[in-house]
Amino acid sequence: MNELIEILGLTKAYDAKHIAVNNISLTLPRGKIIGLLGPNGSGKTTLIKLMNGLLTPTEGSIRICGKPVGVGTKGRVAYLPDRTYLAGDKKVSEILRFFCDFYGDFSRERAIGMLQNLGIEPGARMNTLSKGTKEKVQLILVMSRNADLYILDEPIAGVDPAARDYILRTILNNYNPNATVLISTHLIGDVEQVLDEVIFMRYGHLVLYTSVNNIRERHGKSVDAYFREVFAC
Amino acid sequence: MLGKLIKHEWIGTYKIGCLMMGAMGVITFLGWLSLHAPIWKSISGMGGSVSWLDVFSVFTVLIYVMLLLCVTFGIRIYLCVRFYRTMYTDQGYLTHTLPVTKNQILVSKLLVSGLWTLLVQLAVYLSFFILLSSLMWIVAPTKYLPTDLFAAAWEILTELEELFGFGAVHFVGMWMVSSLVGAFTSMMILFGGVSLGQFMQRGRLFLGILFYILVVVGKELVISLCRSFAGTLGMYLNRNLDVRFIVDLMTAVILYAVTYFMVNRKLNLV
Repeated sequence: MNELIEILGLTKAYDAKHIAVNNISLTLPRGKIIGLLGPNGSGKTTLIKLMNGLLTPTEGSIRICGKPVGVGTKGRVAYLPDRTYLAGDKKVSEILRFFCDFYGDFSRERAIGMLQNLGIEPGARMNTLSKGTKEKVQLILVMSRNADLYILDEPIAGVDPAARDYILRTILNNYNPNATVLISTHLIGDVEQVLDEVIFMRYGHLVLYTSVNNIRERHGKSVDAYFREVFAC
Repeated sequence: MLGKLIKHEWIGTYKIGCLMMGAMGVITFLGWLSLHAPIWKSISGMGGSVSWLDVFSVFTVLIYVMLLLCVTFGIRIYLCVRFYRTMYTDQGYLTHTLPVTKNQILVSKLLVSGLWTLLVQLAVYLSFFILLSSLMWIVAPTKYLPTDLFAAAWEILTELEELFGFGAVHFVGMWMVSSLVGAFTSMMILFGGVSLGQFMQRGRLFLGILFYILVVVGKELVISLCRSFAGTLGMYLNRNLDVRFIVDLMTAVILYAVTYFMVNRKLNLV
């Protein structure tokens, strides 16, 4: 079975006026790097939260690896939120132990290797690290898992270009080829080179789901240029 | 997975918990030291003299009581803040994406927090016992042993039993059960108050504190109302702990259900 994510009639309304995700149906395959793209307020983060069980759908359903979102899927999804979610008083080594305990697919050796490459001391406390280093630690934790689905919410926002390159390299070098990586970002030009497919969202609706090659062949444009055309103000 | 959650919850709280217990030890020592001032001997007519240092010693006892209250409430506030942070702020992104059930998350937090509250409560009882024993020793060193405190307390209870038809065994039993279970129910009521605030769109923390105060006031009103039906003083004393125990337990169960509903259906991390 090649389908990894099956979304059917998914709607999330915070109240009658604010419908963040509006009746989306989508099937995503394994083995792809997919960009989740859209302007601010298009519902990307809400969709990601729904996939991670951080929000409950108003209507519709999501199945990951054939299972509804819950304990079973959380063990197979590696999620990088768009914020620092690790406690500041914790040492990096303590966080590694935590991940080892809860995620059976977590590779401590891989994580230690990536930390060493970046010169991050496992004994360092999170609140002593810079913002960029914290983001790298979080990415290392996520990419050290052998998950079926990697969901990365704005992984390159707020970091310098060198760090962006490192993050993209880390994603490419460490993800399981049978898995899918879903990357939400505004910085399309930076990630375009690694994407296989793209999803465009606007006002909670699905605008487009196609391959990057298709955009280039049919429209003769890069994803970045095509995005600017579709979402022109 | 519940065992792992409990393990990490314990690791996350033991430093502050041990600090509180250490503070309790220091406070008890200071209280014990202040009770060795001559003023206490002069009160008992054993020939001590009173000086400004003795006045300071009396203040130390007052400070002892205040610090004891600070430790008792301090651990609860710390555990409540930790609950709020790990459940409803950015750290919640980690908590709620772990491959565990919501019940396992809540039970682990409740068990560890309740255990710390219980340990601090036991330390308070031990501290009181040490201080009362040393006071007895100072006042009448040759007549009493520290264990005589228990005998004296039991004597008072049995006298009350005879006078008002008050059940001493029942009272002591309920006091022990209430102390044990109350440590957990009190934490659940705190967590529940914080969780009620999460149903709101804005000012969630402030409203959480407000809801907690309202729940406690409502609970105390129900307890007072139930006790007021007691016809005699004995009945009042008998009912006091029973009613409190039942109302606290019921409130905690309701708030557990509310918190579960919150994290399972209405969670919305900002």
